[in-house]
Amino acid sequence: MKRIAAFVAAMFLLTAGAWAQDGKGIYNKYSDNDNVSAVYISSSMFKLMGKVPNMDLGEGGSMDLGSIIKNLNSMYLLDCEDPDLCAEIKADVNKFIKKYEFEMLMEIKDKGEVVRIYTTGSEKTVTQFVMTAAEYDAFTFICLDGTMSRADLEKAIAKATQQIE
Amino acid sequence: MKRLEDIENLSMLDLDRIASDESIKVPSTLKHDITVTARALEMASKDEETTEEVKQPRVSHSRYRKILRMISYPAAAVAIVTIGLHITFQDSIPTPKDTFDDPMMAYVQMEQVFGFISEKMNTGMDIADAAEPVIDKTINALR
Repeated sequence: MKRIAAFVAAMFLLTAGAWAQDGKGIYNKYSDNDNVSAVYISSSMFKLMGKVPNMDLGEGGSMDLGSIIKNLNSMYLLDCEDPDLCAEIKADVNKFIKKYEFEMLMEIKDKGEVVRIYTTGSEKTVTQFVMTAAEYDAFTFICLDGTMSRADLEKAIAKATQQIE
Repeated sequence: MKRLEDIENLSMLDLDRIASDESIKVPSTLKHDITVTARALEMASKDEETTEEVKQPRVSHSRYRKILRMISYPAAAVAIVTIGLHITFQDSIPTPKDTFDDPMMAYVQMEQVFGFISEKMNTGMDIADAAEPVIDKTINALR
């Protein structure tokens, strides 16, 4: 009986551990922490963004995110500045990246900061986009969930690049 | 004393003649010695068999089945519990609350996110651009 109880407890812990290994799970685990800034945008809000008549979705100026937004299901953002917590979030994100077999698009190492960009999906579509920016005492995790056209995503990022310049 | 080759070359008649020769004395303990040697050989062969059995113990089919039965039920139970827990937890992951109530604010946040992604990608592109002349120079030198 004791053995069965131990087995069930072990399985419970394993399942609970696996629970945190996706964008939503990681967000839920850390978003309430005082040392973390968190932003979540749901699919309903993305739909609402597209429906508001007065909203400028690109034609009038700024970035053209209309094509991306309408296909997004969720956006999770975590920004942490506590080194211990950053290490914990980073470990969970790495498990998530490994579990869903993300493909690394880009890695940038600059002045002690390591930025990594990952995607999952096919040749033409992206189903998940993850960006991590890690410094010694800071970590940023961005996860976009949805079915985005790879071309649209590249276009949006390129447009944002022009905006910065 | 005759050599083994000589004995092998002897005919049956010669062998009979030698056997019936009563002038040659047969040791009185020969029969006993042969019996003892035969028993010793028999015991030695039995010992070898026993040693082999100790090295590779034979497990009967019924014992394997018993072990398999003992393992299979708990394994199946654990698998069912794991799948059940996994499904339960997957379904019960709470959906977080939207950070923004205003779609405009959410849109501005999305712009900032894309701006941040672009900024980081730009840094990577700049590093790659800066490395380009060095790469070209190296390629030219190799040619």
